[in-house]
Amino acid sequence: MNKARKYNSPVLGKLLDEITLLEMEQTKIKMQVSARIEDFMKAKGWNKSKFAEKTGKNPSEITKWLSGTQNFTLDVLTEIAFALDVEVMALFGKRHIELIYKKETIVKSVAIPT
Amino acid sequence: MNYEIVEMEPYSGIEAKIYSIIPEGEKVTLFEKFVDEHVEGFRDEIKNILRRLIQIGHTTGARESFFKHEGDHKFLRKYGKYVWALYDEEGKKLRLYCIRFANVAIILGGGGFKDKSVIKWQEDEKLSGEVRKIMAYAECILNQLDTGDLYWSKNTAELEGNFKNYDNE
Repeated sequence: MNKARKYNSPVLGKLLDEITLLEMEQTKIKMQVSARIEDFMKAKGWNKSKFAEKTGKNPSEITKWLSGTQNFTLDVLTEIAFALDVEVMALFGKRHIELIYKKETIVKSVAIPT
Repeated sequence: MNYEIVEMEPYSGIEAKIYSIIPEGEKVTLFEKFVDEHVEGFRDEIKNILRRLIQIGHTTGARESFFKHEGDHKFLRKYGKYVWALYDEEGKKLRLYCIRFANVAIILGGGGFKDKSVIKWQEDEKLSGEVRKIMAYAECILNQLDTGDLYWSKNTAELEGNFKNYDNE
């Protein structure tokens, strides 16, 4: 089996070096919170329109929330948690849904005879 | 089209593989070319894109909600939803195109400056060129997947096979 050649760009590396740990963490939190909100939304069987309806927002606002770029205020996070019927802190938790999915994938791949 | 697909380090990770394309005869990837073209005027925005790519690779995966579907109807009807742009933050000006395979992998293409007055990529010459280019690469790569020249690893986490799509190889 052939895997792709690993490629490390000095130009991109130089730019990456300019990014502080704080900036990286800020991006990580924004994207994780968006992902968590989406997981809860899907666990409820809601699409963006349904979620918009539940929160009284425009669907385009929900798209922004889920885009991983949103700098949420505590008020908005509380509003989201309220609509999803979870604690605000749960929005900062890990993704149980995807972990279960991964576990299933591993079992399946082991079961396939080679 | 002759090209090599390479795995971008350190962006690629356990949540999603991040690849880009080196066209034959060129030394850098389409993504580096995009960075090189825009880093002078949009340094912070480029760094923001790098931060998000790192997180996609290592933390979140390439979730659909982080991207906007692009491409034209003809491509969509023939191949499906494979051409995407990284969601651009409010007030940001750069648009980066890629080929996205569910949450597990993206192949970075190029992109360009998107003026506020531009609603669709078809309205801008540079963006049109970049979207058409990534659609052409997507067509070739999807063809490689159809023929088994490229395939998904057993755990469907990464691409395997022939990454140098050259006529003579």
